[in-house]
Amino acid sequence: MALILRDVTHQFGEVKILENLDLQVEDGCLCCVVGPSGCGKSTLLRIIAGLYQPAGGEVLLDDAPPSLEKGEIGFVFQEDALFPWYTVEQNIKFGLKARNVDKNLWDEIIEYNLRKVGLAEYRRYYPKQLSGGMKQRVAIARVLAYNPKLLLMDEPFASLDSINRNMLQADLIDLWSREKKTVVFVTHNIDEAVFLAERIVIMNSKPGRIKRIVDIDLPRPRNRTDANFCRIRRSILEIIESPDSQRTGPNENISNEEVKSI
Amino acid sequence: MGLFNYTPAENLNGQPKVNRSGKRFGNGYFKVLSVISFLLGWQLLVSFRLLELPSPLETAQVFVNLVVEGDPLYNKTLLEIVWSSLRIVVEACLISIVIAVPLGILMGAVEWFRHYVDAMLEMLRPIPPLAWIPLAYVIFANASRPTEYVQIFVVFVGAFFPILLDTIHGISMVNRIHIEAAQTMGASRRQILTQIMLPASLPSIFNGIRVGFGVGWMCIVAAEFVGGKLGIGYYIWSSYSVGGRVAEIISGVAAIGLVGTVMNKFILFLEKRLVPWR
Repeated sequence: MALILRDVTHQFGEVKILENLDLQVEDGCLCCVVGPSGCGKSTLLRIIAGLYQPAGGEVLLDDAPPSLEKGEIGFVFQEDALFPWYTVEQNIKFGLKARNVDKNLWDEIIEYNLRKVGLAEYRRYYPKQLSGGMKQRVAIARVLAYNPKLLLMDEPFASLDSINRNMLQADLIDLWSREKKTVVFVTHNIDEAVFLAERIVIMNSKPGRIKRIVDIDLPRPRNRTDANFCRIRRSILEIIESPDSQRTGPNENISNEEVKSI
Repeated sequence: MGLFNYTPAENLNGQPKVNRSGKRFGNGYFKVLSVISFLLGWQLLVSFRLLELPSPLETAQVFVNLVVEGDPLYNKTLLEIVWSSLRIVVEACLISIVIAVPLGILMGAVEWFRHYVDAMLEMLRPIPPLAWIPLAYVIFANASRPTEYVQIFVVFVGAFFPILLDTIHGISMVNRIHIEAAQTMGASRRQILTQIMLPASLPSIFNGIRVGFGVGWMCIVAAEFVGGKLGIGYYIWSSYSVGGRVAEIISGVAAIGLVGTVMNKFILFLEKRLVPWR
């Protein structure tokens, strides 16, 4: 079991953001978290990363709380998080240095990871010289370079145009199926979630709770216009829009059989 | 023609606007025109005897003479006179940078330290740098070169606060995402301070340095009025005391303006070289 959340609760002052979250994500699973804006998806990711301490409950990554110092986490942000004062290459170096990766390997690692995201020729460019999609590719290469256990992605493609977004989604699936990293991917785009996920966690808001967990076993490569794809999209949307009466308690996740039936 | 004769929005970008608001001359034209009008205005004031001043041409002759031959009364060229002031400003501002930038970074990054230092600085900040001159003479009375020390001190005080405040401002404006990104990569506090917060606030720090040098340049002129036998402030003040040396005074004032402009441009140039990512 790679990532375990037990009864995670969080609040800012009096406002409850997350309430009684239980979640398990196995090694190599690509798990998408969807929900309306303001349901605490980003907060959840930051708690998993160890950037915030949860008010209650615990997060375990391979049986230990995640720690920032160990660099087990690769976090890809929605905003452009590349350091503008560094070139593409120096941005990746920053992570390698922070992780104490052997200096002799840097050059090879940078080359290898930039090639993975198709930007090998852009080593010496500054972020301001790159397009939005290229910046997010570099951001992904930057975290892959130090080989984190867990990849956390906070709506990384939300600010891209739809053509670019589709391309990056396909490339992400490509990367993931080769490397089999554990990924938690937050999005409010259902199409994106169904295209990417092996498992979709549906949240509702105020306070953020897990409404349903749905396994997606569509074969890959997935086709967005395929009848099954659209059917699953529709049922996810129905779950999101349905009234809160279906809300599951902390310890009654829907069984796999039940989930597969939708 | 009239109120409703405006350019459609889509024509504003892309489409070159020809013959509108004199664009065909370019902006350089207006800069030249501005200098000409200034000199013309000056000449008219003199010609109609509205002001008892030497004409622009007479002043220019004196200026060139001061640069090339020097002033016989002081046995120095204008460049030498300006340099002795500039040297003090550069020294004092460098001291300011060395103290204010690390202090500002620390204050921006460590909250309790900011509160601790803030109370002290808020008392000192409203005091005009020139108000320190008498006290500075008392403090440096036994130094080897009291006048120079006083001048360095006054310029230092003048440059210190702009640099400090802009450094604190720069640190406080660092994008949270960049800090979070560095944290998730496992960066240490020191790495975040030196490799994230410092470069992120460099543009703001440079702005402070530019303003600091400007204030410092004003301070040195005033400080030289009060004491010493060197520098451009001393030169224009003593030229006034001698009497009848208006062209020399104007030349000195023009030199102050020129040096200030060159200094500003030079720091902007340095910033472009050292902050290439902007």
